Amino acid sequence: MRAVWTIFVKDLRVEWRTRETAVSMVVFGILVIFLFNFSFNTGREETLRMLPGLLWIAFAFAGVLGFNRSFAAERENGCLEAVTLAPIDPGSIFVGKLLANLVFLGFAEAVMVFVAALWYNFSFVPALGAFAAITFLGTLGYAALGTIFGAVAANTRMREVMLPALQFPVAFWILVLASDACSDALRGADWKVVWGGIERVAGVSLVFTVASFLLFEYVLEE
Amino acid sequence: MVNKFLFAAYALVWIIFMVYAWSLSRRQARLLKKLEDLKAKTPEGKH
Amino acid sequence: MAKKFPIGAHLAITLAWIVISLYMIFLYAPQELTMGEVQRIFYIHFSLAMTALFAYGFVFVGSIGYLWKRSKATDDFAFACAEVGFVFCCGVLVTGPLWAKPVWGIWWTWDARLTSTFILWLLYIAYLMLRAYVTNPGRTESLSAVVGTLGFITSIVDYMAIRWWRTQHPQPVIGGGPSSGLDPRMWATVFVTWGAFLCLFFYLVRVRIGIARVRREVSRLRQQWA
Repeated sequence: MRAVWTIFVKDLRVEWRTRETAVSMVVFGILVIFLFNFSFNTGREETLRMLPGLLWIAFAFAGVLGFNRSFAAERENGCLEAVTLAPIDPGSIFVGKLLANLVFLGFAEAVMVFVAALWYNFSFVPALGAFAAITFLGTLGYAALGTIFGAVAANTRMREVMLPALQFPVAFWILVLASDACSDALRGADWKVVWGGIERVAGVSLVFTVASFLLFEYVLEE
Repeated sequence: MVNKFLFAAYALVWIIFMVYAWSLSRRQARLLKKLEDLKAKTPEGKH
Repeated sequence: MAKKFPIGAHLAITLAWIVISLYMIFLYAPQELTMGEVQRIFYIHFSLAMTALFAYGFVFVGSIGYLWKRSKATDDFAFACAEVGFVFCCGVLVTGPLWAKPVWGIWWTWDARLTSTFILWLLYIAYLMLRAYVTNPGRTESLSAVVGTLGFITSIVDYMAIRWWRTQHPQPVIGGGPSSGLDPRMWATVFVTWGAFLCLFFYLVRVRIGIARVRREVSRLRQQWA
């Protein structure tokens, strides 16, 4: 437990010094939202229907950016080997890094939602509870995959490409189900429908989080 | 005349497998040759 | 296995089986009423698709087997199935649109089945890319096994999610065809063809495993020299 906390705090502290990861994730995410605004020549009605999907695409890309950087730094400084050699069990390393990734991505997502609310004159407040729950659950599964694939990609030659190549096909359903559920929540659908969406996202995210946790030791060994 | 889609489908599948089979056979030939070279080196010279 | 079933015999049986299938496809199976001649693509499309699907399952078996037993044989098996499975998957993506266009008027649609197939294709690519790009040679097998496992879990999730998705979203009327009202001769043709492709799949996997073994032998001898 302490190991988890140590690693988590270490990642946060390192990030706090340079703030590179968080800033680049936020900037990138906002740029994605910005570009989308001009890609489609649609009226307000349609734009609002596309908003959840758009947000999740922005989250997805910002996330991948963040996961890459999270392990790139470790690799550069040889920290990955050091951490592996230390008598910490891989599960703790995974959870520690996952929590750090969650904080970074969560922060970036919050900023993106705020900016989107501003630009599209759309209030997330009425559905905030459901939206926040769905986003948290989806981000959890997504970050779990990002953590393990980040570690896998750190061992490869083209890691900036390798991580998305691994992440997107596997995380596809987390993104789609989360986007779908957010769509239901934001348009004020019946709570049973929204709850169904939350359950689905939770289910899929949980499966991938547990699987990533169990498999992580095989990525670190040797 | 045979339906062009039907022809294309079977032709392309055939080509795909032929290309793969060729790639396999080329890899195999190259590796076996390398193996022969290495084996030939071993008895002579090397302690 | 290799001793009991020589690879030469395997190749001969595969080729014979394929010839028999082709005979059945073109001369035995009756022509489909609505789709015409083009429907004959279905026999290889179906066989390729089922094999590509099972192949990823084999990749999973090999991956889990490696993580558990650490034997090179399981890793060779996983890698070989991934490579050959990928070739089959390419075949699926090629034959699908060629069948869809004349019959349903469109090359592609994002319906449940096509989307899953495309994701499967991406999962193969992810696995093969990883194999190609790992820098530390000692890590390749473990890392690939992890990816193979996660990829397989994805295809399970995919299958279940798509069943749910179908109940929610109106599906374009496509691909409803294959299992609806097939003449028994067509069924026979389907099974014979599928068998031929599975036979071909395992033959290619054996060849591919053979290559992996030779490569290891070459590395071993090289290291003796270094």
